[in-house]
Amino acid sequence: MRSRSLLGWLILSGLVTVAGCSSHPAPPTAPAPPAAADLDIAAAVLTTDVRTLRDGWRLFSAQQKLVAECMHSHGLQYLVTDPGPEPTAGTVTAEAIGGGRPATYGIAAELSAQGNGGNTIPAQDQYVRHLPLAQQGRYEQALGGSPNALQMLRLASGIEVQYRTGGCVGQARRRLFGSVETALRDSMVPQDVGQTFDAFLSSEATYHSALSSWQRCMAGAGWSYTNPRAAIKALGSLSAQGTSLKRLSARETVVAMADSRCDKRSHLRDTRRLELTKFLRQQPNSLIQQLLRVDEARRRAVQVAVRVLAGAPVSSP
Amino acid sequence: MKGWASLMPRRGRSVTRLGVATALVLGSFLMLPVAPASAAASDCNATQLCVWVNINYNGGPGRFTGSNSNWNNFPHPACPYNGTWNNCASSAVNDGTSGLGVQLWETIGYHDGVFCLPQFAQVADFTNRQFNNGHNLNDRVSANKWTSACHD
Repeated sequence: MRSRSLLGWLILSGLVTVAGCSSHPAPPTAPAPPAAADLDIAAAVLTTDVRTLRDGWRLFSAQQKLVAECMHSHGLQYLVTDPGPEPTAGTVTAEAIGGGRPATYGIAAELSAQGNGGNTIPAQDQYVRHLPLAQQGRYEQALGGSPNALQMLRLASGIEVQYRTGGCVGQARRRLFGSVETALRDSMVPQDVGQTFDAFLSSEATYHSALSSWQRCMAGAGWSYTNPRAAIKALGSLSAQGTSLKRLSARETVVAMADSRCDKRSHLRDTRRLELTKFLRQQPNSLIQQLLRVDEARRRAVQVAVRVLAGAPVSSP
Repeated sequence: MKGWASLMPRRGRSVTRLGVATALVLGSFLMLPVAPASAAASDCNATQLCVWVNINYNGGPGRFTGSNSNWNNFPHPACPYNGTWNNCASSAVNDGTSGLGVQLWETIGYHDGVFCLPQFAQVADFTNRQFNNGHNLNDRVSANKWTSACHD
């Protein structure tokens, strides 16, 4: 009896062990943290520097060229919008100091290209406004497709953006980015994640310390701005207040040089970069992957844009 | 206006007015409930940035062309803050034809927070959307500026 029950236990426990091996999933393992290289790429997507500005300049210019060609093929006129001169190596942004000289934020150059301090209606919009009403509908259809045929982009924050996919603009975006959705992501995802990072940054003591140091340095040079972004905005608004482009250009050079000096002393932008990496380490892997996809798509789109601007043939996706 | 909660009474009133008007026109022959005219983002015309008082493109649109540093200059009686589009918009459409994105600014003179809407894109509901400084976009837009760099 005793030996039979012992045998029974052995068989039973053997069965349980086998069953356990076959039916229980492996214990959950924490997902591998993103590689440092991936975090660097994700951080670059959330940082506007000279390279980002140049890429944006090329993408905008190439899209303008593609849209103009497409509209002409429909027998319609299109007035290309000038984004201004290509950003120089000395361009300083709120998030990165440019390497070249003279230091500039590129504000006066952009406003100069837009005419009248950027307050005028773009020439292309003026042209369309003066078309007879009956022609405007046909023109808009050719440019953007139906205003009722929309697709939805849902961002990580839950925000939804709808967008048109048709017409010459849709075609140009597909040529550059592979899909209209990818083109919209290029603009919307950095904004969406960036606002979350800005909220994170505002509660980081290390960043506040560097910012205070930057503010003191700038005040010593005669400029009382709360941060580099505020400095750029304040300069950008001068033309709306009647400041001439010549004076604005001189002012922005002086401020950008002071900003560069104060950044070196305060390590403000380096601190932001470190905080950004810290922030990204706390994010879900899905968000990092999303930023990596934006980076990859943008790199490809810029390659296409360079070929478009050089006049080389570009195959349709 | 803060989304549907504040929109509903107004819609109720307009439905009633429309219903009465329809009844007057058609007499007692047709006393059917009348649906309100559906608001649509497609009310926006080419070349314009359009904004609405309420979410889902209701109450407007206000039509903006060119860059405008002070929306106090654009009256709209339905806007509760001061009867102008300043601090009033709850949804928007960028129907510009130039390829430029449009920046929506938090403060007059292009100050404080900013949010950029690319060409042929639209947002039906500002209530969950923030400027880049974390402030809510709803009922806080005060200026618009067209830009070729629509990333931040």
